[in-house]
Amino acid sequence: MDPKHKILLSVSKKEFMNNVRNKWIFVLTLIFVGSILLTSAYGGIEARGDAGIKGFEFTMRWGSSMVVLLIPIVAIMLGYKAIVDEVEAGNIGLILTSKLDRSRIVAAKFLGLAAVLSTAVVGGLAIGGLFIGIVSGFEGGLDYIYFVLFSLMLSLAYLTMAFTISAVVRKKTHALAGGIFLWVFFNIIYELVLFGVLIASGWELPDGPFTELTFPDWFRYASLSNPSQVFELGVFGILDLANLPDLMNLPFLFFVLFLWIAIPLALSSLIFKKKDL
Amino acid sequence: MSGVIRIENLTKVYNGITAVDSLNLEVKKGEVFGFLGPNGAGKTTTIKAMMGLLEPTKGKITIHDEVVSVFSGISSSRVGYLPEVVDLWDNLTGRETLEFMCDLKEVPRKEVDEKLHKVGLRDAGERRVKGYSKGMLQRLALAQSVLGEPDLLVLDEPSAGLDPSGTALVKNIVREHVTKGGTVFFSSHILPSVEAVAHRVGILVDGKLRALDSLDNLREELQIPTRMQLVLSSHHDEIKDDLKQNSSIRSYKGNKNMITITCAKRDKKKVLDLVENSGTEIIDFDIQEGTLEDIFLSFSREGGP
Ligand SMILES: Nc1ncnc2c1ncn2[C@@H]1O[C@H](COP(=O)(O)OP(=O)(O)OP(=O)(O)O)[C@@H](O)[C@H]1O
Ligand SMILES: [Mg+2]
Repeated sequence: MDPKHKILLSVSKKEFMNNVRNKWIFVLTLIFVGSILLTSAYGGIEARGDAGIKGFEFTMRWGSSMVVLLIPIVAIMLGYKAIVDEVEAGNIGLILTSKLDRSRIVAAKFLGLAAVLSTAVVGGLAIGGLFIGIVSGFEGGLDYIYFVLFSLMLSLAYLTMAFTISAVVRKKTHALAGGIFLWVFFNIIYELVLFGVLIASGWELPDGPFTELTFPDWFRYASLSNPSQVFELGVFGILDLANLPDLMNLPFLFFVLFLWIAIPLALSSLIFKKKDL
Repeated sequence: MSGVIRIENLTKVYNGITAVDSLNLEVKKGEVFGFLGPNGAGKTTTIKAMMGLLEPTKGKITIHDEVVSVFSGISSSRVGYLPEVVDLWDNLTGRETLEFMCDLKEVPRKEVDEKLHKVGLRDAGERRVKGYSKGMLQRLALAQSVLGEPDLLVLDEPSAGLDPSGTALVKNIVREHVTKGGTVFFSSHILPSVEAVAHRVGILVDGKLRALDSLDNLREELQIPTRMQLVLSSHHDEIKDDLKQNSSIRSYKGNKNMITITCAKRDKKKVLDLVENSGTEIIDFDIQEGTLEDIFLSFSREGGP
């Protein structure tokens, strides 16, 4: 192995072990197990009238709105201080006495935290899923696997966006403020504005069940510039819940989320490379 | 001997503030170089530029013949660095911190015990850094800087926060390092410790290098005066006029039968003879050579000497 990669992995490992030691990884995993089981048991209770673990399709339908809010919070919490913390503490000077250059340090940090996040998201949702499968049968299990994959991609996208913030600011408190804004922007502001534009364009809420709503194509495409909405489109696609434009099949949406991971990560690296530390 | 550190025309401007101004400096192999200057002089800025932590506005720095840049960093594990401010990692123990730094620097972990011992943290090695005092933290940071016996040690205020035994530790580390053929570049405010170990000093004021020489030469060059306090057998009025006229004497202060005179180091004997010959006897005396502190202050003053 290239010695640089070995050094890189020791930075990643430290990042990972840090979260094992302070038990965060277990707490986060439990949060995901708990919330997926709770939505399975109590989600949409008015509509169905009874409590109790339901099957995968039901769980995903009600669980997705929980996952889409919860995952970004967890990812931002893990990522916002990743870079600025080492800069503020002055540790970055020590790390840089190694053979690692700055972009490798960003990569190392990303690998470590991505491993933590993946363990929590995939582990949490898988344990929950196993339980659901045992109680209600494994029908729709493959769809659930897609759902977990999309959840993972969503979490990584928010992680790298938090990295970008962490690379830009000089203070941890500013990074936290930026992280909160990131969440509010994509989960509240963006959707509100988009809906505002939709209503202004003369679109009217038709009668009938939600799943049969048709939105104009431009509205769907505008949603691609919001990773949270891409995730929601993914869930619609998995459950066949909405009439999406032809292009928006699962691999396409998956690819868009991949870009939402790769571009902010590259951006963090670029910004960090030029920064005075 | 080749230059381990070469700083050519280094200038760093932070939003309009010139922190370092056209600095030229070369430090040779085996040398202990003391970097002095008042607060805000630009010492840390220079050191950070040397470590590839910030991009110079102008100029070039080479370490071991490799040009330093923010893109490649210093890219060699032959440099040990103690930053001015370093908090280390709260939830690692002292030992784990050094082990992690060993991995980063590709140094075998077996050095860790010895280094913990060296800085006096053997008993605290298994404790988390979170609970370390300021001085313990500084000792640990010092320990990591010497992991793997680097060729060059760069220490930004190594004595900050240390007790007297810690200050002595820094001196030892520096001495030991040069004995093994290493080079040391350090900044400090603790002047006696600089005096004790530095072969050469540079004095930076407002980003400009105001002096660069050995301490002996600086004393001479700057004519930092030697101060003599003499107790006489009679009232100083009797000899006052004689002495004040003499060109070797730079300043004269008298109080009853005690006088304080400053003169150039080489004129000491002459001045003593003069006093004796003027008809009074010297009962007691005290002589202070110009210290680094005097040199430092003479440069830090507005305008310099
Ligand atoms: N990140 C920064 N942004 C703006 N100005 C800065 C920054 N870092 C340093 N400066 C300014 O550059 C000048 C030199 O600072 P520097 O920290 O290099 O001084 P120093 O000689 O190390 O001082 P001290 O003895 O107090 O450590 C100061 O005027 C300082 O305010
Ligand atoms: Mg400083």
